Amino acid sequence: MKKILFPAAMILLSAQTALAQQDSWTSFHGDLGSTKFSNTQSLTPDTVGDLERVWEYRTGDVADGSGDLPETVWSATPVYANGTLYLGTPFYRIIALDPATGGERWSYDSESALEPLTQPALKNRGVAYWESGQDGACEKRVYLGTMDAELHAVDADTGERCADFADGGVLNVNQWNDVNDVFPFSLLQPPLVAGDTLLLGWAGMDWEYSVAPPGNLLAIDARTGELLWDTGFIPEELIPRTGTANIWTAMTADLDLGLVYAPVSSPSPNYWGGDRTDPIPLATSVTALDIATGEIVWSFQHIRHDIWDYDTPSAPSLVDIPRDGEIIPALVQATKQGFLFVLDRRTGEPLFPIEERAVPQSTTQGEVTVPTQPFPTLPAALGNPEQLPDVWALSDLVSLGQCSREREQYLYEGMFTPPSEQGTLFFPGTAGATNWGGVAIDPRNGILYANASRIVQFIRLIPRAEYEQINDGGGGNEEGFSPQADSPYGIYLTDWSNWLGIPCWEPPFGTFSAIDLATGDLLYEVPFGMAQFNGFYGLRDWGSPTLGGPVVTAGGVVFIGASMDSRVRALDAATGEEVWSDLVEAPAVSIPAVFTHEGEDYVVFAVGGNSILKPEVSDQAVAYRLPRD
Amino acid sequence: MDRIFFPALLLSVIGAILGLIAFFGPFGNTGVDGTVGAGLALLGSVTITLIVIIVMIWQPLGGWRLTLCALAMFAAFLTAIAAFFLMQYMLAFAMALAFFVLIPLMINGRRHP
Repeated sequence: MKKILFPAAMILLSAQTALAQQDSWTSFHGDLGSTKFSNTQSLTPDTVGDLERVWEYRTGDVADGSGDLPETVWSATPVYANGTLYLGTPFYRIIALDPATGGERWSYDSESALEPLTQPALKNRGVAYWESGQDGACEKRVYLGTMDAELHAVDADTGERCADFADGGVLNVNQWNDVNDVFPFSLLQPPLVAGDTLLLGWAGMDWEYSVAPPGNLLAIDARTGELLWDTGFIPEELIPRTGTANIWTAMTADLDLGLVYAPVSSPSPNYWGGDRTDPIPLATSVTALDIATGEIVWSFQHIRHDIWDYDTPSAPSLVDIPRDGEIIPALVQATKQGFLFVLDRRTGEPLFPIEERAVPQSTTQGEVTVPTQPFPTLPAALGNPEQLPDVWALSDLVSLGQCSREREQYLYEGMFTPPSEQGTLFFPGTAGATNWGGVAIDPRNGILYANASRIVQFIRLIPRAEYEQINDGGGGNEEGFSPQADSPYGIYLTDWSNWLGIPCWEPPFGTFSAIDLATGDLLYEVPFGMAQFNGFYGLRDWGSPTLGGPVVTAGGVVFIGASMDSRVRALDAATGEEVWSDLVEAPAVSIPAVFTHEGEDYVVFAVGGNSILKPEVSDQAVAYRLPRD
Repeated sequence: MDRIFFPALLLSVIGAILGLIAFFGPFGNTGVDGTVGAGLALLGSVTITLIVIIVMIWQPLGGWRLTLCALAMFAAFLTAIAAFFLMQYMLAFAMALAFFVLIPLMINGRRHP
């Protein structure tokens, strides 16, 4: 792993005042710009060692899948607004807490059916907050989405439903699911609140169908629930043959420019594109839309003809970058491949050169891969994704050469190697180098911080007849099989491991990096977290796969959970060195909320776990604060 | 009862208690509670305790004593390694101490007819 010392002198960038004044945490990524920067001053590398766990709260909304309920995946970022901490839960409840004590102020139950309609687990990534600026009931609101596509609006002070919103406080978003509606919408990610507009994407079923609901972005009036506009991302003529390209993750907005930046996912079916060989320019893109009208202003497609399920996984982060004496309003879009695309957020023009490079071509029947794909020359990619890790000697040894044999047997010709009947290794895997956690940026100096996973996966396209024979006509995600129904191929997808379950590829399995956005230079990249298998921890140099993202503070500290080892950590932002950690019940797979309440700085993690990392799940929220003198 | 084994017994009982705590987490999350690894560490520490008790009560000499002590040492070694990678450092320390305490007892046993 390349390590570069933090430069002594940094070019100071023009920080947006609003970003640098971040004391609250009013949305999934903290602010509309998704910088994940907290203006808290007291939390420094020298002080965080004294952090104390000041309270712990159990939502009670947790299931490990062993009983009647599906397992829960709780990736919520707590929202701090209105002097209150709001949690959304995977049982689709809202809980309002006193930030200082963790005492419950109120709770609201959506009474949503706890059924895994589109996902294998009950999932929630939190709530959204809006206020009108006026006094009175429901002038401050909390919004919660559900698995069955209801959007609930409740009063932020009392938890009572807001009767003037849609149908008595509940909006049925599935009413707009009327094309290729093979599955219902699910509202797992809270809407983005941009002024008085709620911007809403939805989640569907991955890997199941060829023809699926076409992705779109819905704009909803925050007060009435009225649909303001609806913009789709699949060309009309292709809708009978494909679908999705939806927005399942968080979004970003620039109210000054009047733009929302939508990370658009891949089209269906995810791993075979023979029925969608025509261009779908808005799929796997970051797309800017006019908040007022829904008109598409610009779009940047970072993968063409995506057959790797490399959805754009996270909200882009806004930052201003100096160029030739001018300050350029920019955004940074992290991708599942670990690339960072830095674009002028007014136009979508790249701010660093992007090369078109020849990529491996598919020999699968019906598939037509594109000859080139875009590769950013700068900034440095996260986790060295262009180099497939070597076979891990330890894993190879204990499996008597299984890993080496498979490396020879499976197809890998570099990034963008297509899925194949032979079996393809792909790196980074489908969960990505980065995912919904995205990146954090210190707007004062333009330094970007990001965790990245380094997971190699194996995928095989299975001809339909063989697939149905293996899966008795059906098939599900649990064992790695997924049908891609009505396409010629089902898939088998799994991590590349030996018979003992030990990864076949060389560590590190996860890294943490800092990048100077003015130059694109990698400042450091260090192993992050500890992998854990059957309770046994790996060595620190091995790092850990991660889900969730970092927060950087004005005091020079990065807070992050995300790792397999169920630790929440503080890192010295200058070096990536761990300066504090605490053991929690499961991996904290979201983003911590870092805010100032009544003059004191708090760090709050929602600890939910995710079976992608390990089986443990939890309903724990924990808050940390420096000791009072 | 062969009292010379009391230190080993004490360490192995402490190890078994720490193994129980690691596996069941009665005082809170240990980071490994309920895992296969913690189960193996618990099994190892309990095995050492049982072997030491057997040796103390039965007081075997010669080959039996040597074999049982060697088994207990082997279990202590593996459990210490396991506990280290489970980040249960007190358990690892107890098992490492038990390993070293058992060495002279095994050597001592070889001198009996």
